[in-house]
Amino acid sequence: MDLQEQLKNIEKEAENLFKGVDTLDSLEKLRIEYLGKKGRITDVLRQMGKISAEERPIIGQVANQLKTKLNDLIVGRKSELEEVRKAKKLEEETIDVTLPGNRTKIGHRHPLTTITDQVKDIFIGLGFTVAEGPEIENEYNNFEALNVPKYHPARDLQDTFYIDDDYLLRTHTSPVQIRTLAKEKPPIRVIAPGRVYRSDELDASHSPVFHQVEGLVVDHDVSFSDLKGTINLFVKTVFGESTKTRFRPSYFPFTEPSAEVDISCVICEGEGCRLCSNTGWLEVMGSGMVHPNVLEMAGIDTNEYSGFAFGMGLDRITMLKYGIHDIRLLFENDKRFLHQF
Amino acid sequence: MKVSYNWLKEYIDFPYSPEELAHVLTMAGMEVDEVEYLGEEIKEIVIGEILKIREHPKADKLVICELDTGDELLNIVTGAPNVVEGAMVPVAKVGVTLPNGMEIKKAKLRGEPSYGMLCSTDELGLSDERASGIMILDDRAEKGVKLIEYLDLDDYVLDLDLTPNYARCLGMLGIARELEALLEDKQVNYPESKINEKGNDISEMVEVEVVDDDLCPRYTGRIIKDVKIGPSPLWMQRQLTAAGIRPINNIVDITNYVLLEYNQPLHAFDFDTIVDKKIIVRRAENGEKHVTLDDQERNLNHEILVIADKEKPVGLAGVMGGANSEVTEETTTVFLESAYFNPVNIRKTAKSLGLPSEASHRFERGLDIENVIEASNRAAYLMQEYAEGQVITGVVDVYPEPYQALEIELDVDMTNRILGLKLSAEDIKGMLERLKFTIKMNDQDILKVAVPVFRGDVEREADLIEEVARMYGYNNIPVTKPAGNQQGGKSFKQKFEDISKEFMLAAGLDEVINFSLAGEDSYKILQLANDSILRKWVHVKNTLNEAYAIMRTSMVPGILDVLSKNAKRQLDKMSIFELGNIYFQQEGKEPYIQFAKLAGASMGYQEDGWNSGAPDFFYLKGILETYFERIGLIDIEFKTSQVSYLHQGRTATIISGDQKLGIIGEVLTDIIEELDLKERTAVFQLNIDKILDKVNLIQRYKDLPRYPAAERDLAVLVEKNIKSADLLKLIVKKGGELLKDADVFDLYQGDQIPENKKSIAFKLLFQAGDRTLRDEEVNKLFNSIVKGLENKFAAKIRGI
Repeated sequence: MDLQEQLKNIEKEAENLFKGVDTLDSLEKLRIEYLGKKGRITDVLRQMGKISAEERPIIGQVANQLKTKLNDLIVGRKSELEEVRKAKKLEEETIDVTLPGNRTKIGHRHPLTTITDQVKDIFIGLGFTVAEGPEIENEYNNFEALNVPKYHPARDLQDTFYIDDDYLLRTHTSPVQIRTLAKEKPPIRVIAPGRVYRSDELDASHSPVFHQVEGLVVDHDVSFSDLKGTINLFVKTVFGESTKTRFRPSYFPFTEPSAEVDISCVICEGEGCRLCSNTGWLEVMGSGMVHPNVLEMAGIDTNEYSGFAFGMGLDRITMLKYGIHDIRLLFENDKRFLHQF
Repeated sequence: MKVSYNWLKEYIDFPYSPEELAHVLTMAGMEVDEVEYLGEEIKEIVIGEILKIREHPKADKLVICELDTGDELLNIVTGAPNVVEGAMVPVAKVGVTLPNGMEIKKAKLRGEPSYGMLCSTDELGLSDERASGIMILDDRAEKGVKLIEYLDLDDYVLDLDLTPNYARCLGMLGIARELEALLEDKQVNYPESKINEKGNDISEMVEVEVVDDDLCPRYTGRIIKDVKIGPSPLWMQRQLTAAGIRPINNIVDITNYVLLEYNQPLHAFDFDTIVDKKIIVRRAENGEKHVTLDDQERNLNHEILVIADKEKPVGLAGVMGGANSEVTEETTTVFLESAYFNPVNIRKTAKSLGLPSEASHRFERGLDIENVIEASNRAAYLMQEYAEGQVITGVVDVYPEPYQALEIELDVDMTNRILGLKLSAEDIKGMLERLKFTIKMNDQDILKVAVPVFRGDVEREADLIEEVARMYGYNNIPVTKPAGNQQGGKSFKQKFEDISKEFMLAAGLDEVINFSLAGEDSYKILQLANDSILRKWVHVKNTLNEAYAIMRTSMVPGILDVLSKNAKRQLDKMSIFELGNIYFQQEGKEPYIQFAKLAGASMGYQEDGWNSGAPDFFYLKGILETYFERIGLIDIEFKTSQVSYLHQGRTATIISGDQKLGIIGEVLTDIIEELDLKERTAVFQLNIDKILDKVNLIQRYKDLPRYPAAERDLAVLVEKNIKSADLLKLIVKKGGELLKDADVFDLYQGDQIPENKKSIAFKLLFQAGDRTLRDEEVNKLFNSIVKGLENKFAAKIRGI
């Protein structure tokens, strides 16, 4: 058999074998068998001495072409087999994507804090700063300076915890108004969120400890219509655009005119239900124009300045907003309650 | 104040249904809490006439009544012994439910069909006592008519929650006047008081001396003789009952009735009990005693005003009458007092004696001093009509300083500025006049307003502005935004508290909110030393409940209580924090002070990082370390220390420089058992105010390292009691500025090493800012660290 024929046979044989190979290992073995230093093509070339000088370059060329061809075949087959191997690996690595993820543990913010923060943010956006005052307050700031003299029937409106003859647990956040007026000159815009106390037994709707936020604006030409605008905006932001507000005459010793603010019921939207005692309205805050007695006691000229103030129960707002029916839930700190927020 | 709808209609003919009336009053400032229909429970009961009574064929004690209920004839079997033919009786027909919940059904009683039930007063809820027979109605009753009409119970009662400035509306006429102002075309019908006076002038029968006229600016009296004590007319009794006042006898009922009409408390004395026929209004002597109408002996003092005769007090002025001068069945002559007492004094007396009454409630809110005679006349008239009394000619009236109407200037421009309106002087004048203010207009800018005497609540211009707003309608006032462009914001402390809360939440702690009032009992578990600062509680003087007797001095009892309550509900994996205040007494100008604290706890944490059996401790410690890093506190140390309620080997004080910032530790086992906590529960408490002084929230960028770092691990064997922090301190010192980081990464105690020893492994990171470090440089530092550890701690280096 001449050398050319031998090479042709090798070509035929190798083509079939390479196509049939199905692992990268056997492919490598075949490569060595045919293209290696001791491989079949080299075997043929070793017999070049037996042929004529004219034939040698021809055989050499054929052999090189064969080498290239086989090499291409191997490379092609190799990449095919690589693909198969990758596909197999992916297949093997399949996971159950419906298994639960590794949950991150995050803390739950108390709903009262969420509402308080929301209230702060709304008023900060309207140019208010956040003021604070002590919870153990003197009688003057809590009552007298707010136009509630001793033995005034208005003291009956709030059952007070006393500490001694001069100090008490503040019954509202309003004394922060007095502290602010003592420190700052108009224009004044503050809100004062905080903890307040009343001598009430704990039940579903009363708590001896609860939370309020107070607002105070003092400036030139501050009017009742400004108060209405501010409150309306607040109510709509907290309870939604469609919530209506209603102002009705009321009495607070430290405001005149005074207004109680009702909002359309968050449950029935005014139709009448149990929450609103079928009135369609919910009482949410007290407000009014700062009483000139209060401003005068604080040394502010009432011909020059006027102001409005408002105050509301943050616990109540929280309860209305989230549909919590019992104030005790806010202070029981049951994990199942906390984790709902 | 309870207001009967029908009764109010007698004074003014308003066009409202009960619900509309409630709305109108509420929007005018008189909040209506509730509207109750008086006849609600018996509205379906009708009046029937017993036409015929037949014997029951099978039962001796039962009879069959044939009834005419106007629209039908019914047979009803009853056992009532008092039925007679021709009687008018209340009938509950089939389908009707009685107030006790019983539903009437068609029934057979011993074989005889019965189509309803004849009712007794107790079955109708009209009396509490069991009645012996059915209710027999008098000759006003008509068959077919509803029982509630016959009983005048077809009425609504509005419960008004009146604020102190609406004292004028504590009487029906006051409310009628408010409605008159709202309704342009209706007028108040004032009640009748046509007295037929007889005999010599009253001054010949009685003398009145007001000793302390500062407490009694006006005192008037009338005498009505030959009165016949008996029940008051039924209509009066029902109206009093509707208003929540129990009928007693005609004289007392009349005083109460007029109180409700005119808002003027009256008192009737049995005149024959007054010694020497002289009334003295004076301060009580200190130590004087007096038995009030409720048979309680009261100890009096010089602050209390009494009505007295020559010998003794006969009543507490404006608060309650005396038992010794009470009107009884034997009374024939009545001295009728109508007076004006000092509001503050009445309030003090009612408070100090714990004796609030309908009278004191009104006196302390300030009454219409000009109204006292009218009210007295009305009561005298009613006594003449309903107690057959003879009114003596004249009135005693001690009124040394007659009332001067208050005049207030109202600035039209100010009114508009305050309300955000554009009213004219004429507009305002019209509104105020409807409220019975008298206007003396000077010009278009200022109104001179005379305040009617019954408007004691109006003291200055602002009060008039409120009246204008009320008449204009609060909801008709426009809505505007306040002008101004101030910058809102929070203080640094407030921002820092927000950051702290935010951090704790991100770290996985749930936020809790506890009461700041507590009971001393809740501090028992802390096993505090007798002189512990935490015992310096601020006490509440008038607590309702021992559980709210003190202000908290620590957040820990509250925090542990939360875990305890949850653990008892099988929620025993929980980690929480609370940011709140604690309170102390202090020396100085302000006797009380509050501090902000951040406290937290962990119970049932799963991963035990160092295998030290203290998972909750190290979980919390990790959170705090990260927290301090976040707020720029870099020199924090945790030092072993002792706290009465914490595990002595697992407690640390948190220190920065010379400041103690807080504590962290594992809760003592006996507390864990007592509170049902999960074992290993740990707590921390930080002093926010102190931390605030050290916080550094300013952040500056530092260039990133440009040269590679060299990492070395170092494991040493040391005595067990040696603290890792001490080793680290030395490592850092020896490592110098090229040692960028050094951390503990492994702790081992056990079989592989000798007892009393532990192996601690550190990861060290060396890096220079200006070059790549050579091995020799790093090795030199590393060896110096090793040598240092060997010398100072007798550490043995373990191969890594």
